[in-house]
Amino acid sequence: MSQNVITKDEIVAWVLAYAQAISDNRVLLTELDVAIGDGDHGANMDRGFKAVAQKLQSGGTDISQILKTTGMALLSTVGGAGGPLYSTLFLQAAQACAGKSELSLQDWTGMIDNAARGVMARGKAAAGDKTMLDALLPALQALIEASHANLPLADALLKSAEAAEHGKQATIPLIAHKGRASYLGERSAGHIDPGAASTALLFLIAAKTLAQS
Amino acid sequence: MVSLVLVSHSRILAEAVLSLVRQVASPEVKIACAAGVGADRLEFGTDAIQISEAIASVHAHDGTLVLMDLGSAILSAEMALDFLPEDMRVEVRLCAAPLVEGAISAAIAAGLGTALDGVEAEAMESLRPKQEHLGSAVPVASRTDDGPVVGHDDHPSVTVIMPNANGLHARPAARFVQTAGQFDAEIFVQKTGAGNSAVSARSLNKLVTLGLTQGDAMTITATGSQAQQALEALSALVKNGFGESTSTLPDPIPATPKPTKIVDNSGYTHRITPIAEGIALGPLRRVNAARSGLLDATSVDSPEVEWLQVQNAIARVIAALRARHMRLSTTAQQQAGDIFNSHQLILQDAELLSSLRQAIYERKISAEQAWQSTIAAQAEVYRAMSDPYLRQREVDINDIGAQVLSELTGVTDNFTDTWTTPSILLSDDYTPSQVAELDPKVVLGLISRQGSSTSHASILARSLGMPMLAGARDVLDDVSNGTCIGLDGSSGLLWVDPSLEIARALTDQRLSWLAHREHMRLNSQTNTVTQDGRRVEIAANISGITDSRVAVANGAEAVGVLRTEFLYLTRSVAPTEEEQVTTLSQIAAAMQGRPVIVRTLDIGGDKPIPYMNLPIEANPFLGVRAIRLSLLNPSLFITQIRAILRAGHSYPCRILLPMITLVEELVQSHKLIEQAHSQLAAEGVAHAWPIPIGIMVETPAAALMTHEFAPMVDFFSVGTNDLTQYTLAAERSNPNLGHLSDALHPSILRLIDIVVSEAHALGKWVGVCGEVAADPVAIPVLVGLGVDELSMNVSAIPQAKAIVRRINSTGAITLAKAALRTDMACAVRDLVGSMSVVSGEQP
Ligand SMILES: Nc1ncnc2c1ncn2[C@@H]1O[C@H](COP(=O)(O)OP(=O)(O)OP(=O)(O)O)[C@@H](O)[C@H]1O
Ligand SMILES: [Mg+2]
Repeated sequence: MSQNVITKDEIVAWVLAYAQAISDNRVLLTELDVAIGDGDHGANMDRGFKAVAQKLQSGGTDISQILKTTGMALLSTVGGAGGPLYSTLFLQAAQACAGKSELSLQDWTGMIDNAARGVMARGKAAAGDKTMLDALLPALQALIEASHANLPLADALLKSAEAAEHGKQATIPLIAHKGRASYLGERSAGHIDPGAASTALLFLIAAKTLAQS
Repeated sequence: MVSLVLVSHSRILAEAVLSLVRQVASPEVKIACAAGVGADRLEFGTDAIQISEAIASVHAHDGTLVLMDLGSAILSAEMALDFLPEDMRVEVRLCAAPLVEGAISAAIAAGLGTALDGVEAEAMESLRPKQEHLGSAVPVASRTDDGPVVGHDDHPSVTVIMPNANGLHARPAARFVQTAGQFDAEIFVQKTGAGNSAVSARSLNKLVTLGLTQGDAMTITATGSQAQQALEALSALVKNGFGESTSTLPDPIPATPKPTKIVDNSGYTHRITPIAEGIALGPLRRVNAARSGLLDATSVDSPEVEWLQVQNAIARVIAALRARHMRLSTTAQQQAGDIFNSHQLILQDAELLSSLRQAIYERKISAEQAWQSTIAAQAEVYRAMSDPYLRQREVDINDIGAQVLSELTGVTDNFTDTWTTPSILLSDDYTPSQVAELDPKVVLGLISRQGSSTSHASILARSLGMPMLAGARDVLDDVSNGTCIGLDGSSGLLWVDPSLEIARALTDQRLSWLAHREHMRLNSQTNTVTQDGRRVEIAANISGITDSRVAVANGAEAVGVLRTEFLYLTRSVAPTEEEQVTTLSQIAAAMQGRPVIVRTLDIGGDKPIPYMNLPIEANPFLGVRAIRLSLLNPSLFITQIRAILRAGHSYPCRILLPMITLVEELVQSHKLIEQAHSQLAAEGVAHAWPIPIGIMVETPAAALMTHEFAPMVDFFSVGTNDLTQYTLAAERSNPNLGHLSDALHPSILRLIDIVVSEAHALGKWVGVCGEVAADPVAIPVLVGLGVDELSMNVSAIPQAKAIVRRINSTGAITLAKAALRTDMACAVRDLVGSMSVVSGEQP
């Protein structure tokens, strides 16, 4: 396995590892959502990614197809806002890497860029609205900078995971403008956004599972 | 037919909403649910795939409206669209209406065959009844939003020309807003021409600021289930000049002539603008409206309190305006009362209220300041208008502004001061409310320095019979208070310190003017006979106490139909007998001894009455309505009859049974009426017995069986609206069937002829109570057919009386005979035009 590309099998491993991480963090995510939402983010995501894991057991034919299967499975199983949003994330990612058998840092960055655009279009949210975008956009920013600097893939993934984590922590003082938490108005401040937490986890798992020879 | 999809997090909720909807909507509307996730979909969540499948399962080319609850339901619904084929996607609409209310309104509209736009509009309006009921203080901003650019979309629209000489000013605009409000439709009006934007017909202020003047074209656009009906009613309103004569109002401001000074041997005379006729002689008294200066800006910390205060102040002013409106509709012309009606509408204008609210909440200023600045901005809009007539509306705005402000601050102007010497007043200008509050015992006449003949104050002065001159400018500036002044409101002559001789002449003229007015008033109160002495009773159709007061003022000789539906609608339990006795007695008392014909409940499946659980019928007009409903609900009917009999003990009440078709129905009704009587007798309750009983003739069957009915009734009342609809088999509100709704069609006249001749043969009298009874063309024909009573809307009474008084009844009989032999309604109308049986009219 080359150090500077991501293969099809790694993509499967990433998604499966994320499914496991969601299951492990289910209670944590739920607690975050209890504070400012309806307390179902952990359960929603776990239900969705269990279904994804089932679908991916037999592996997949190519990267784009694996991501697409993931997106479609999420769509009808998550139930919450995470359903259309993570589904969009994976479907848009799939679209960006159509026909590719492995992904360079530039490919991966382009893929996350497309995914982030999709999530923004779907949710009509912007940076600072206290949503998953507040983790996703910093991660993307870090990837763009890393790919300009021609950093090794592993370093880039680490930087994006750190940026996502940072973004997640930065949601604490924000007032939610989208999603369930927005009904709380000012009372939504003082807590981490659950969607930002699950997105930060996605990038953390990517750093842990991808480009690790 | 438009289909619906209900999206919810909860399957149980969605299914429950579906059952609620099914209770009220046509079973033909296709509705699918997409709700819940997980096993059996019993967990909360939404699923885009399920939504897209649900849409595909019910979709037809008429379109599908998707209603959803919150959060991910919205995102999932949007995402579901991505999975639909392009041709289907363009026919699907996601709707922002609240799920429960929206689904019910949308389903009802869809069941009526409304197009997708209309169904969506219905759903969007569905919160309104709830908001209105709960009195939500916050005006819904979207309601005053500017409308679609006309021509865009395929909303139905009409273009009409503004006929009124003074354009679309406050009074006609108020009529427009009220008429528009009667329909279930979103209505927008645009001054025709590129670049003009459309405004909502709900906002009086916005309508007036369109600046429509005589000859301008305006386009009215409507969406919603009653869009067509609304357009028809509104274009008719415009074409009829909004019920005012299109040229009545005298010249606007620029015509104010320079005062001319005529010197004669005793004192001197000026000629200024005559406003309201009448003669006055008395001491001059200056009055000045206290104009409060702008208040200092003080910041407040509780906008809620300020908002509450200003709302309370507005509510008090509205109550006062309402009282004034009522008083004037009875004592003076309708036009005068309408002024205060339009003032009320200005205060209820959603646009005005929302900028007021904004000022309070966003600029955090006091209620008084917010009100002042909002009113100032509104007044400025009028001041900037190019049309001189509209420009004068600034006075109205300031008048209202001052009233609310004085409610807020507790400071009033000196018009409420009392003085005891009858005087002639001089002021810069008068506001309508000032004129309305003047006490004629201490005010003999009015002079204004500025002012013109078209201001609302002038109209009021005219209808109150208060002599008035305007445009005095500086001519009285050197004249001291208390100087004797004479004025003639018809010629514009103004005498300062007139000689004894002139004063005597003016006094004589004043007395004969007062006598003439009294004569006019009494004349409208006398019974109506034709030119050659045949008695035709002119009666009123009323549905409440307000109507009865106006009816008396307008010279009604009786109540021909008191509709009792108002007692039953918009409530959750049936009215009690006591309640009905009280209401009927109040109405009858207001009629001051005139007979009151009470029609029993005339209602059917077209009007939902919660406590009656009426089944939805495919054809309510051919279903269980009126007497049919009463006979199926004998206890409801007996309660009503008992109330009428009891009210009849003190007042001359009669019973009128609606929609009698079969003789059996009348027999059965008599039994129930007798039962009510024996109950009351057994209980020892005072009541009228026997009581005159009549039937409505609304079905051809009833008309053809008059001979059989006549022995069992005291009178007949022909309801021409329904009789026409049932004879010509055309629904009245169907816009495509206008040609089938003319009650002057010879078939209807022949039925009336049968009713009159068979009823008269047995000594029973016949009235007509449909719209045709007030139609100036129809009146001579009906009189010629031998109709004994015409019953109509209260506002039509003075004109109808005047027409009947000029009819030659022999000529009318010849006219009616000829009309019976024609073959179409327009031939009857032509005939009336060509045979002049009404004197003083050009054939
Ligand atoms: N419009 C949006 N754009 C981007 N992210 C959003 C949006 N709405 C919600 N989110 C994200 O989704 C997270 C919540 O996901 P979750 O699965 O708990 O859905 P939910 O809000 O409970 O959905 P539902 O509306 O069905 O109850 C939030 O923390 C936020 O990060
Ligand atoms: Mg949640």
